[in-house]
Amino acid sequence: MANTFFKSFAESDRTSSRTLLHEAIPITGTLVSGTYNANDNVKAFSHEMFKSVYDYPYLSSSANHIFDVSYGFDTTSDYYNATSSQASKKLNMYTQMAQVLAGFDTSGSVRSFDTDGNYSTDGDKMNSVFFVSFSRLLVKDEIKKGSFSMQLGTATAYEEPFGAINTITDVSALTSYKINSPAGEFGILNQSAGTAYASFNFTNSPVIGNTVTVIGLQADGTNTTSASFTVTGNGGTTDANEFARNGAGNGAANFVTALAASPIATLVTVTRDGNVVTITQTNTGPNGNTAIVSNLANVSINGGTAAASGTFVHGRSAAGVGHIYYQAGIAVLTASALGTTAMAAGTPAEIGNEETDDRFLIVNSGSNPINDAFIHRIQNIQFNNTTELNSTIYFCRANHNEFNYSSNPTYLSDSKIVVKANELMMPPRSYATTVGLYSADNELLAVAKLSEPLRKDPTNELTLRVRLDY
Amino acid sequence: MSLKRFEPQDLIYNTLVAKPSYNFTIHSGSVYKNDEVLTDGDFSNKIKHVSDGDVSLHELNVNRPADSLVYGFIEKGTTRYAYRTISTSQFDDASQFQYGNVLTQSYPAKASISRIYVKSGPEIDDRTFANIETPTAAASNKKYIRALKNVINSRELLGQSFTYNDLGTKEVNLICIPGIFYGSKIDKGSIELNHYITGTLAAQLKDTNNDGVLYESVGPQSGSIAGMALYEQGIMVLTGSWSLGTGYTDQFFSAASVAPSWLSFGTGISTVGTAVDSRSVVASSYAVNFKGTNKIPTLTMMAFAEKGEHNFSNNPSFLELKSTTATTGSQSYSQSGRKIKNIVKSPYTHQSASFHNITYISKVGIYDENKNLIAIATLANPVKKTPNRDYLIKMRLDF
Repeated sequence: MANTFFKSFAESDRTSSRTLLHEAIPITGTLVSGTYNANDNVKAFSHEMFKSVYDYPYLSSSANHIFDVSYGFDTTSDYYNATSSQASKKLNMYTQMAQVLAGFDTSGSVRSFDTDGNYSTDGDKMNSVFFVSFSRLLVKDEIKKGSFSMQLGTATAYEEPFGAINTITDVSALTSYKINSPAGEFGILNQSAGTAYASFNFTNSPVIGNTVTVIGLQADGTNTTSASFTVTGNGGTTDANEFARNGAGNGAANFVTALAASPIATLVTVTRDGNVVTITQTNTGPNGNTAIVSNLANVSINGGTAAASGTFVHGRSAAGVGHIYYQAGIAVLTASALGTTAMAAGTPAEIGNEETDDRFLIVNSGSNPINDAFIHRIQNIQFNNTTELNSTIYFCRANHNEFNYSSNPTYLSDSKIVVKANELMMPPRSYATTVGLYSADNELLAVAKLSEPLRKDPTNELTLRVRLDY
Repeated sequence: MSLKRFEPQDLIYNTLVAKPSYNFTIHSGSVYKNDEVLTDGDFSNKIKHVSDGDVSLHELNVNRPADSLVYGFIEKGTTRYAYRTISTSQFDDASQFQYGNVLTQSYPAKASISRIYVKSGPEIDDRTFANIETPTAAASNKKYIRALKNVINSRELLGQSFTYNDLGTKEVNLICIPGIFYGSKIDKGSIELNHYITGTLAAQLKDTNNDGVLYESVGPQSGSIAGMALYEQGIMVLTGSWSLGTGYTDQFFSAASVAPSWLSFGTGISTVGTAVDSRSVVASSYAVNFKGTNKIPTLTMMAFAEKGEHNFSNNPSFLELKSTTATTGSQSYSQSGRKIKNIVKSPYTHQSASFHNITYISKVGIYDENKNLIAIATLANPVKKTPNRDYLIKMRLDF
């Protein structure tokens, strides 16, 4: 390096840029709610304010912290009751997160989370929410807008939660994110529209003369069409309004055949697994949660009592169900995202276990069971993170009459320039291998190396583009 | 809280030097680091998604299914940022990457020791007008030894007996250690290369004189120079070509069996450049032992709470709880006074002890010259501070 060759940068020789690096972060539910070390991966605390989820048993030094899950409500929630278990903790959790993420109104009161992010309106507040705080290791500088998606299992059965999936995304947030949060930018999390379904379990053959009425939702999402079926004897007919009680699956196969010939054949999708028939509405929306009038003996609907009526469940509209705070790396989800049953309406939500409905959990349990129930229903989370890389680019210009000599000790041999091969008449020549960036006090700050030496002589000029990332 | 400036005698700058010890064992194509066999994960792979002997650089992917690994990506833009796996010519090739295209980088990034075998032969390509019809090319992997010419020759200034000379044309075996293992340089005198034949130590190299020259300390030519170590670069240059086994041969370089030598040392380590056509070698095993040098700059700060200082707190609970109704006038605003809470405990029941100034120091904040809080030291237990007690709190900041 020719340490005597200094050249000052002009303003035009210097420019700045910002590059966004991303990482795709998949968080498969098997890490947290599946069969793989699920218990050891989730760390509980005696204070029960939150649970921490790791990608490996958390006692191992190899484990990375992935996210925390917490639950909170405010005093307007149907689940708030001053005497319910850990009510003050849940209230404190909601308030503390709300003041950080939603901020304060003009009177100094903490604002409640608002479904559409418009805090000037009332009536669309999220007052019973789950908080998912992602690790800074995964979020880096921020979550990439428009990249967040989460699949939650919403099937009624606790043991098979992923029979119905609610996909929640921040789609279109890239252009429509909100900025009215003290924690930075946030996007609205929307759930996809869902189709209603019902399952019939033929534990034994129904009785001749039993009837069932199934109602299908039409394409307009409002009107419905019904079809009734009567049970006939063994070897009886199977057509648009009746089916024989015998055959495969205790008459289940004949029921499927009858549905295919009925007026609602195009409005529903029917599958059979042994003696279980699942009917799914073709069209999405909450109007698909129609009533099923049945007195089929030995046949239960959605796990209910045999010979009792039931309803289609899980039909829902696309709607906002939460926020994703990009810089903070926190997702806020209203509890009703876990099922069609609106928690705000005061009916049991669909988290928990088979013995305990979730309203009971939220009102009468500490936070740990609630958080467990939520973690149990995570099928998948996916987002892209962002790292901002700021760069300054220096254009190092070597004019034709500059940098043609070197003070490198090996440059001269017997007072002759080595690279000229003793040809005295040849013009001076050097080979640039390194660029040094110096401070105003001539202190060496950074060194840039070329991949190969560049020949420099009076017949050529070089512009070396040096990028400094930080 | 009050601010107090550090005096020059309160700040001590030190450098801690750590010397982590590493042991790589190579046998039958497998490399083990510090005798560690990596744990199997739950998804038919290792939990860190690297092989034995590798170190995962960021450990973002831990125990994940193969189709759910974290990976990095970037859009090709005018800032010309790309991952190192994409060369400049590939980046510039619009048929491979157009502006706006996504460039991906699979994780985990990993590092492990590697081997470069350089055959004997011409050091550089010979392409002149004289032999334009029959130019000769340099032997394989010569670029790696050529790149070390200046480094090796610069050690001559230190009076070492190992110089480049004809190294460019000789057969050379390079054992390369990534910098993540050794830090700033390999610790001088710590290198030990062992060659075992059927489990018995047949030969050993050591940098006995701490000068980088590797002497055979065990083996048929004990005391001979068999190579050199480049401490700062983490490279061991092995040249000893004599046989290390009595009558023992193996397929170190091809299907033809030859006697082991320092040139075949490390067979089984993943190779860089043109690979060595070695076959299954099970009778020979190797150990590469060394220590690194990791320098940790350390700043020790002495915070001195003198007598009569730091006896007040801005903590809200420091004052007695009292309704603070302010009186306002047309030109004035005044708050009513509040007393400092008396926390002196009386030894007697039903008796209040007389007031003393007492604070409890629980944290020390470090501020820069612009009074930005840049670090906090928290005490394990708060210490009781009275006007007639002084404390010296010693804090250490590692970089």
